[in-house]
Amino acid sequence: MAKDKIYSLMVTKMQEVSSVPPQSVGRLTPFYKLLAANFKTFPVKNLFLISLVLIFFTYLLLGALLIKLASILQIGY
Amino acid sequence: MKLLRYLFLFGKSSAGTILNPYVTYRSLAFSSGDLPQTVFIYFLIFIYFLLSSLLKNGLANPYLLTLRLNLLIAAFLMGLATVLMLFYLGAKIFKKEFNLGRIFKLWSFSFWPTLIWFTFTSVMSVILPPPRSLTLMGKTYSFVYLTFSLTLLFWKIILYYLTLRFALKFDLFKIIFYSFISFPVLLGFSLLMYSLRIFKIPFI
Repeated sequence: MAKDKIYSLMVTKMQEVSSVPPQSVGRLTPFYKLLAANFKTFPVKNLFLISLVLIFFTYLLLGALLIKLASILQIGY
Repeated sequence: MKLLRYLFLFGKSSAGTILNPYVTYRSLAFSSGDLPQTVFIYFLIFIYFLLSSLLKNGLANPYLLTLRLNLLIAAFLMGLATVLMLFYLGAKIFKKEFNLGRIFKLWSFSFWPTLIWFTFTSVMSVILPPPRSLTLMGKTYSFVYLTFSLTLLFWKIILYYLTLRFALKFDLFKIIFYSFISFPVLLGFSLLMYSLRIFKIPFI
């Protein structure tokens, strides 16, 4: 009976995993899978690092305008 | 007991949305009978709208406070209806099955980044009211705030992608094509909300 329950749980899990076909982007599929793997588990960590770098370079480009943007966003609620 | 069960499910799904969004969204799309767990995110959104109305209007005029709260709720529901209609349109265009319960469940959990950003911005606008200065402290805070905002925006985009992937079974190209249709509509909605002075930044 316990084996049947484990088996049925496994079948349900496999059905869930195969509910959508794997993503295909043609020749770029290996690069897509490499990139997507970094965002499947706790993506906030990598997103924070990417955001930090982007904001740093935007600050180098825009300078004081970026500070103005922060002020504008702060009244955006 | 059922309420506790749904609260537990809500907590588990919310933690999964942060820690493991891909597996969580796949599991949410595949499961059934757990739609009531989304009531908690809407309760939290209601609490935020109440907080926002209090911060903007204060307690001096209860009429204005009630009016503001009702406007926020109405505009939010309009936005939600717009997004769900766009999903329906997308499903029709690409001839995919439209399961309202599944889409509603997945899109509900994508409100987490929106809710966190709005709550943080509201609270910080009281603690550190704008405008930001060009001193070291001003620049540092602006840097941190913008990084935080951009992180949440990217997280929201990931949850939007996962909603389309698991609720409507779109592939990447369909998601990109669909975005070219839906983003202008959402931009129009945002401009409407801005012109009506309800939301400066849309609560989508």
